[in-house]
Amino acid sequence: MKFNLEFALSILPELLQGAILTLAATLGGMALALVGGLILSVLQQARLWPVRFLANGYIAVVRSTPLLIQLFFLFYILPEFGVTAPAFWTGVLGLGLHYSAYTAEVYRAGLENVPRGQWEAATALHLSIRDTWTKVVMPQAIPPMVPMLGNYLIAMFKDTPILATITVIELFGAANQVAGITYRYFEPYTLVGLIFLALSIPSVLLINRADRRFSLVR
Amino acid sequence: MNNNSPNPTPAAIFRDVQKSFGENKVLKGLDLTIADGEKVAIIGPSGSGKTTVLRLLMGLEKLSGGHIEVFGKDYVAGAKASRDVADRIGMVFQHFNLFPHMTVLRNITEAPVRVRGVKPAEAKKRAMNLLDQVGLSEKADFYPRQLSGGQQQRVAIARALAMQPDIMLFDEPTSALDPELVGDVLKVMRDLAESSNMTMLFVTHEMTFARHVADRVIFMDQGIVVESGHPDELFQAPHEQRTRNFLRSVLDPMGWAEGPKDAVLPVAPVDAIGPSIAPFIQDAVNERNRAAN
Amino acid sequence: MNFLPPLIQGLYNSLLVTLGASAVALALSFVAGLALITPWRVLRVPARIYVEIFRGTSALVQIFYFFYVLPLIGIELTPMTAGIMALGMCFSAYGAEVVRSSIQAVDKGQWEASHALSFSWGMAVRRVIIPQALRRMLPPFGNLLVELLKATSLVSLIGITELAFTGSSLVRSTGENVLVYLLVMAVYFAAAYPLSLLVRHFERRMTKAW
Ligand SMILES: Nc1ncnc2c1ncn2[C@@H]1O[C@H](COP(=O)(O)OP(=O)(O)O)[C@@H](O)[C@H]1O
Ligand SMILES: [Mg+2]
Repeated sequence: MKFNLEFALSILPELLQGAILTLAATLGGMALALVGGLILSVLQQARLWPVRFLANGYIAVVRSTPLLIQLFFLFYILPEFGVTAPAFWTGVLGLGLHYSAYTAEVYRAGLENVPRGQWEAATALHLSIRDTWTKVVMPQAIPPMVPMLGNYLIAMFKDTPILATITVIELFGAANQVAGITYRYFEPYTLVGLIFLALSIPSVLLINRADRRFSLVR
Repeated sequence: MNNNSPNPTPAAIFRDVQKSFGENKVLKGLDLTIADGEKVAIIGPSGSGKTTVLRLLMGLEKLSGGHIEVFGKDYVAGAKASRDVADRIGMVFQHFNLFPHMTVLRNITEAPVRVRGVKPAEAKKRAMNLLDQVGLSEKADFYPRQLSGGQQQRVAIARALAMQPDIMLFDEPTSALDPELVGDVLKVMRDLAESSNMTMLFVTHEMTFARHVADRVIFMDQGIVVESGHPDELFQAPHEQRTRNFLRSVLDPMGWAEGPKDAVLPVAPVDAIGPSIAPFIQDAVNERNRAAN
Repeated sequence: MNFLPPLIQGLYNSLLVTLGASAVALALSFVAGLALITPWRVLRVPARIYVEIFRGTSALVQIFYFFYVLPLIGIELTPMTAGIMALGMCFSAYGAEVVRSSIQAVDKGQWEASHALSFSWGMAVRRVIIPQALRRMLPPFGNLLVELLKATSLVSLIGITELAFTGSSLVRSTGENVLVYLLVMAVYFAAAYPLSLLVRHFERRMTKAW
């Protein structure tokens, strides 16, 4: 069987439409994960041990179970609570909740990256808490987080095809649809792979550059 | 290996050697001839290209221009044709570079056994002999991390010697050591220099060592050989102003010495290195001195 | 109705897929990872392309590609082989980077000392570099193993009756969706969490230098 270029071109618009949904889901999921991870990492530092336990437990459970099952779970449990969001939003929520457990660790690692001596020096200089955070700690903690968060962004991007299993017609879902109707698998799946490469390789290069830039700072 | 009559072919010749790292011209037409069996100390300010000279000879860097000859053969780092002369060169590094996952003994026997095909039992016997020479026979089964820096460096010397090189390169072998550990390493090197007819190149900041162990001292600055001569001459009557300035900055870093600023300062006397710690070598040296008198 | 026995049977199959895929991944990680650091371009370039293709696309897409597209070009694979090969190759791309970066993290002085002792490249890699790099590789390989175990859930979509598949068919036959998926998660957790604890334990021990 040969790759039929004409057929490939004819299904390309449909796939690209799916790709737009893929990108939207990735960005939405990442926005949720950035906030969710922040909340989790604050809860991890809470005074009350039950709060810490819940935050740590959430992270452990989410990181030890497959995203696929988590999505199925959300897909079935949300309606039980009377939430009837479109599948796309369920998917975004799933991605966000899943990756919050990873970004939380990034925030923690970023803060631990700032040596204790920096806090002590800020105290010795009588800086206010606010200045200590905004002028001393965050400028050192955030740059090394950028490439780590970027890597999770790409990982999330590559996880979006799983949304097809809860009926979201993103890139992979669109390819499945085409394949289901035409019984041609070669072109749609190859195109999906190529579109993924076209988007992820430049992102990886960008992150590598950020990584080199920011690690020079230290 | 040649035992008495020194080979008339020089051990190494550098002809108009150039080396750049990107835009940075590190060696700018260096000429240097090292006689067979000669002990040469290379001194000079940091960044002057001393390490680069040794690394070129060891084949750890590629030439940017000029030629190097080793034992009369054109020498090109990494080339198959240069393999056999490259095998005759050994090196001791500033940071020892012992293999951390091998015992002291395996560090020394690994290359002779794997590369030269020496029988393990024979390699072990020779290794124990070498450890004895560097005063560490009781450390054979230790791992490098269990030794002090000075002991690690002496193991590294024994490891290089186990390959029986004809040229040994030492790149600031004592500058990563705590001051109290420097002496033992210097003594081992001095004993070695006095008892063997290996060609030896020392890059060092130990002026006392250079003054009393080397046959010739080379002063390098900014990628060229500025001055080269017998240690007595170079230390007591340097011709070049740059040499004088350098020696002054090393011998009197605080500028406390009295007298005119371009006067020649004395290098510490020979016993500053102290008596030998390797009786095995010392005996050989005494023997030779007696024969000479 | 007791859901656990079929789910345990499903877990068993998940573990089989994990085992097969990790064997494939481990072997290919070393092949590609070593190729990435050889001095020879003819090996480096193909290895880099291989790694970027498998890292740059999605595991699920790769599984579908192996299952639906390869037969079209004459490579017939059973679902099991397709799943194991796809996951194995996908994870070998990440593994290759682990091998490469662990080797490159070994002090440059070790290469130079090997060279000064006349070791060949292969001998230096085998005797000097890899033994030191292995310690560094263990924790990231452990993390990849946990990720792989979770990723085996994707092969349910090409009809392999592992844990996720068993869960979905129980849901279909009983309608108990929330309970069943909770149980499925619990079983995955029971398998993956101890593994990640083990990895963290090793991580702490391994970061100590020689
Ligand atoms: N691998 C390298 N890459 C770039 N520059 C280098 C490298 N090695 C040495 N240099 C540069 O070459 C110059 C001479 O270095 P070196 O030979 O180590 O001097 P020395 O040993 O006399 O201190 C220095 O300016 C150093 O920065
Ligand atoms: Mg140097």
